[in-house]
Amino acid sequence: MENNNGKGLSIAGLVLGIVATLLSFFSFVNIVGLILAIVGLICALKGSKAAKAAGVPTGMATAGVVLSIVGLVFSAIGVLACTVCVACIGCAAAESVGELGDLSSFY
Amino acid sequence: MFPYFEIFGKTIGSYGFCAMVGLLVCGAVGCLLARRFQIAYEDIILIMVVIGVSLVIGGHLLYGITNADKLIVLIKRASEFHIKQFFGYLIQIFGGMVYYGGFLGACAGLLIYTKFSKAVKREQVFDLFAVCIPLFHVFGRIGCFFSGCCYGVESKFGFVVHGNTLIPELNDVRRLPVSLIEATCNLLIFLVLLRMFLKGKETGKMIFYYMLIYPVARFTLEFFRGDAIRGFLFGLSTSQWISIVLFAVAVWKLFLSKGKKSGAVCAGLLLATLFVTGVAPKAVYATETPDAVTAEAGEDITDETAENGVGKDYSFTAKGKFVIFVCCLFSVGICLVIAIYGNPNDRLKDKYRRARKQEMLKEKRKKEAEMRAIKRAEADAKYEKELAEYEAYMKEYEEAKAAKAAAKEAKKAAKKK
Repeated sequence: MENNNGKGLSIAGLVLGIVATLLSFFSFVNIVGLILAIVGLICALKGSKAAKAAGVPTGMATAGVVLSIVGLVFSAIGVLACTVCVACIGCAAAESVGELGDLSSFY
Repeated sequence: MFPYFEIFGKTIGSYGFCAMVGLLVCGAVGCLLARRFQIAYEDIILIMVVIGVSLVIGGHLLYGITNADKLIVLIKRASEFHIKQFFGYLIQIFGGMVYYGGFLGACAGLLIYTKFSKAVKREQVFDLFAVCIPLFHVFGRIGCFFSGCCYGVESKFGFVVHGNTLIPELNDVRRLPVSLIEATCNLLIFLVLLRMFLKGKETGKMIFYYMLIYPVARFTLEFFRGDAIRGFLFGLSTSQWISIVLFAVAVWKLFLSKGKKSGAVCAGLLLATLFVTGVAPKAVYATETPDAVTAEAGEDITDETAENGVGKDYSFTAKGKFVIFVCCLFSVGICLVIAIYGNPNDRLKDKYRRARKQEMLKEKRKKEAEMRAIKRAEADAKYEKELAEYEAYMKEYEEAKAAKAAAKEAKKAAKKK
């Protein structure tokens, strides 16, 4: 029989939210945390809607939403950077391997 | 400049921090405004996720498109690079973000989302988006200011930049804080759109009002930015060309499709003014030497900036640019007034149209009343006829009954005898 009270989605959202929140505090896995937080947020929101529709408590789904948002915010702060910042990172990565600093030298 | 700051020993990028604060504030404002449409908070958060993801993708894609020439070279000569170097250049090409790319990406994301979602209506979502996006942009520009990635032309007013590690050439020169000016413009746009939204007059058209106001501010502010990545085509930057296209779309949707010709003419004049002021001086000075250009440009461009490669293509004085900016804002104001209230001619036409409509409504009501009277008379006549038939039938029935009873009694009497 199909279970429509969104319990599975809520649990998935909560777990992903916890993992995303933990990962957001580590510098090089921020992007993974960001993706997990987005997926967790979607799961938790869908779970919350289904739980509301079925008339069952939405505590777990709400916890998932909150944790996913926390993970999303902290991960995004680490990931997002402005135009020049990212371009500089790219430059540094390219320069660290070869002596070619700028792509315009290929013209 | 403060591109990074430390909290509990952890380095945090100020741009990312400001963007996230903006996102949270926009989420809160969006949830409050969504009460009018009775949209659940789950849907609002989902919409924000869609906007956030599509905004980032769109912003990076447009940045990559602006670097298309480099991308082509990179792909052609991919075999010459080490894998790490290749990805380093790829990050360099796609790593930055262009605001308009983000805006267009978010619009596309919302179009796709509202196509498949049954919980929300497209007009309502775009209205909320139009109100919240300038508020988010305010925080984004403040983040830009702190990062030091966007800067203004050299000016008598503004701040002297120290410690810009991203672009060290900008240090120790007084510059116009163009990011903060744009943040202020966005705050004003947010307040205007919020008032319009709360009044509820222009439901379903808020996004076009945003596309009418913001591109003008952005177009003019691009002249003040002073960075070297300007002059994509005919001396105008990518953002300026996109501004023109968005402005034209807004004019078409707000004026032309509604038959407000005066508004379209006004907006067209504004667009022409912007184009001529933006392109013509560049076309004139393009044939002259850089020295002549800087000489014509006036006091705001010095040898120092020319040496830095910053702002040497500029052909307006700071005062001239300020006048253009004020004129553009004034024109946008006129366009807005025309779009919302209509010009005198439109008002007269509306008055005549309303009178004619009321007359037609009266005639229609009169005809309907006549028809109702006729129908009522017909129904009365039918009822009376049916009543008469019924009475005649009842009379016949009673007579037959009486005759039957009389016959029965006569039969009984005969039997007794």
